[in-house]
Amino acid sequence: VRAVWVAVVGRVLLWLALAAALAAAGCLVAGEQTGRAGLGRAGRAAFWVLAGLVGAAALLLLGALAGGDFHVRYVAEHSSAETPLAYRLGAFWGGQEGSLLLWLSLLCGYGAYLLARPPREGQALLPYALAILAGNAAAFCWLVAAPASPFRPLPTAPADGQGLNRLLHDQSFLIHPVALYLGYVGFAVPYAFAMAGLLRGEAGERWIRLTHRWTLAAWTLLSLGILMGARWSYHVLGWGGYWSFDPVENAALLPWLTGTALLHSAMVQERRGMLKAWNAVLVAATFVLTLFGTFLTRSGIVDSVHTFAQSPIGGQLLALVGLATALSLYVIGSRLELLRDDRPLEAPLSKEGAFLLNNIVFVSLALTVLVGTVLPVVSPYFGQAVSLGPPYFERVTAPLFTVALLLAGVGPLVAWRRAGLRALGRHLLPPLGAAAAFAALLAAAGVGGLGVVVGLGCAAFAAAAVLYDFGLAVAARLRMQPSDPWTAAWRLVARNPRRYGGYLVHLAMAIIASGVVASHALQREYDQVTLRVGETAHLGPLDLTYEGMGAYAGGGAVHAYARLLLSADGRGLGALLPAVSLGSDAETASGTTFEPAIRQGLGRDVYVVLEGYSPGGAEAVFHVYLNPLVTWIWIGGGLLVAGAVFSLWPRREALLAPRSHRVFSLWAELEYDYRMGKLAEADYLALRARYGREAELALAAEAEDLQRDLAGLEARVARRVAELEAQACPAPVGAGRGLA
Amino acid sequence: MAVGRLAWGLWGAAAVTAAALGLAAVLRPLAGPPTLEQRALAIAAELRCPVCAGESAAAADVPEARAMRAEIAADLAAGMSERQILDRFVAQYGPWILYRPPARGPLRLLWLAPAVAVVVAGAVLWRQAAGGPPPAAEGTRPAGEAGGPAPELERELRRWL
Repeated sequence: VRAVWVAVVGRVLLWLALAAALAAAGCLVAGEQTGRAGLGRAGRAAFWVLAGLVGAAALLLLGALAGGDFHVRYVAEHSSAETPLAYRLGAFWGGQEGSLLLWLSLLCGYGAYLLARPPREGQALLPYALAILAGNAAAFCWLVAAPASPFRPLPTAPADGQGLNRLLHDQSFLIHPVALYLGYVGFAVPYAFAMAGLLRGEAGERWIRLTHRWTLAAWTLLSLGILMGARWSYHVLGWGGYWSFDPVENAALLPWLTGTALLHSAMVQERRGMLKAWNAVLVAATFVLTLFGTFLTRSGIVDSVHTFAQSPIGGQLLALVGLATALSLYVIGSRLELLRDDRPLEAPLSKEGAFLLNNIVFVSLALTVLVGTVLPVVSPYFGQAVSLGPPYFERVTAPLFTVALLLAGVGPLVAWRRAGLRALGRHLLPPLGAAAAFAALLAAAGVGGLGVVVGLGCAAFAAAAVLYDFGLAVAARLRMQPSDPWTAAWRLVARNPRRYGGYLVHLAMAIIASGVVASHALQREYDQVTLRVGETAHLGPLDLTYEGMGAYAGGGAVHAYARLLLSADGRGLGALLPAVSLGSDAETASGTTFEPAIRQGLGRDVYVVLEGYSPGGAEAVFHVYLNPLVTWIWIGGGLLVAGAVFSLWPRREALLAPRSHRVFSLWAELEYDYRMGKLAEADYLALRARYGREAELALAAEAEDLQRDLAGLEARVARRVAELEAQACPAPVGAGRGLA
Repeated sequence: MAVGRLAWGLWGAAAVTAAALGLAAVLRPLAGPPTLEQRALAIAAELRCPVCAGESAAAADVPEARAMRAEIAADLAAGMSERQILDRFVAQYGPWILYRPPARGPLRLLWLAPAVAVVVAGAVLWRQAAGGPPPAAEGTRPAGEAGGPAPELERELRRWL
């Protein structure tokens, strides 16, 4: 009875949520159109109800998973009594229906956050933005209420569930999907504000300013999700690699690429009032690509190693993608005159020009990956089935990624508006020289392959350029305000976290790129290494001695492992225990999976897969990989997240006085650029005068706001005092007392 | 100043040399010419595993993929070229087996995709960037009118430097 109750209540909650979402969207739009405040209030209330209902449904599903209610089909199909609790809860996003509910919950969570803490400058945009989020939520409510409900009951409850796919029994599975979805869904917020601004007929940068932190946060979470996914693939799938341009991986990469472009082009609009229409298209494209990615992942139309979940909702998701595309294009198209730029590009050789190039590269990457992902799916309808795998993607994307890497070094060195060719050349020379020397030394030391040398050289250039520019800035600061260099460096970073957080991200990208290039081009692989007990294999610099098989039970499964002694260049490196999980009777869904043993190192990983063994274990077969610099990818990933979080960290001044904060940080950046020799004096003086005027205006506006807030506060205090006095002493005895 | 610059330059050169040599020590043992096995695996990576979901014949751990790898190694040992081996698999399974279709016929477009994308994105962006009103207002404004920003703003600015 209990489980039937769970299934019924769950679906009722989701149907009610659908009604609430439609009501919220309808009321909010109607309120904006008619100007009736009551409708707006009703819409907000309906959004709260929506968030509450979805939250309750999510908790209900978590409870059913934790309690093992196998009457509920989703619970029976994705967990079993033997599944450890953490993975039982993680099964929430281990299947199709739960993933969609996760998406919906995060969307509602973001909306509720906006309701609870509305952005100060964005009150006017909030109703339309919430209406767009509610409309988006309605579509997902429909999916989880009707065609893909996690609350479908089974006619009779099985004694035990089928268990969670063994490949998902990994810690990264608990983080990777959540981070990925947080990022995916996070892009809905900038999209909603951009569309809200256009719907209200606002020209200007308001939505960009309001949402740059959201965009960066979503981008960071998406990056984290992608990196965790790569790590999961590396640690669990047992193929010695971490990325294979699989359609599902591409689905995450696509919005990441357009999101990266948006992060950069948004700065051009924020600071220079350019690229307005482009940014509107880019934010819409990123949002639509997150929906498209969900369609790709969840429809089962692509064959992928990641298809843990599929059902026939593909058509409906595709319809949603089409609808979102059409609506976005209509809104942007009908407001094009609002999106006219304030000024044209002054000189191609400027930070604007570098960002333009960055956008060309990242959008081209996205288009290329999109074509390569979709073509194999549609090609059978044109008479010839085509497969596109890593060999294709690597070749077509490598040149573009190389340019992106070079830009990561050049971009920070170029000044806004107009960079002198000579000044730029002077600044580029030291990092270029360092990178060339680095590449030449590598080649001379016998690290072969043009691709490796060029790739590592470009990464070295990006890193050197960022570090060199930082060094120049520290020197400029020391000239302005003498102190010891460490204090100067820290102050510099603390005063402009957005810029130097970005530098750290660029540095992280160079480190990740080195890892990718080296592990790709210089991976050594030894297939079918067959050893008897006591026998030693000599694999390049490595010796592996097989010592026999063993077995252990854990995590609801039996594992067989081989014991290997590892030594390199005559030095003992300890034991490696590659295993296979044999599953258990209860977990019929799982079967045998590989559990590779990895000896991680800063230089190279030794990665061993146990491929098979004779009965009794007298002989075993291994697949051995030597993977150089893979650890650099994880280190770079950590730095990337650290840099982004540093940029995002809330600063008191920024929250209290956002307008003057923005002007003064731009102005400060100008002063540095000038003192670092990036700007001509005339440009410097002109810009300086402009920032002075803007700063004056911003300070005046903030003072006015403060006055207004203060007046409002005083009025409230006076009202409250009057109320209290009226309660305490009805006779006008204490009328003379007050707070004033 | 000049001494400081020289010192920094030397430090930089030392760092670059140390990084390059350290990296070379790690990477060199892995460089070297490919063995027969490496070449076989590289060819297998160009082929999809016919019975798997989206895995290459090099990465998949199913009997079919292992047989393909063994076959490729035998062919290489028998002196066949990469082209010949790939063609044999195409004859057996059709062009679908190749992860990197040859640039023939309409598929040539596939290889032009990035170039087309760059041209299209570049043209659109350039049109947009060059499209604003002329920059009359800011560039030509007399620079030091009224002697630049007020002193109290300058003081405020110092907090940001």
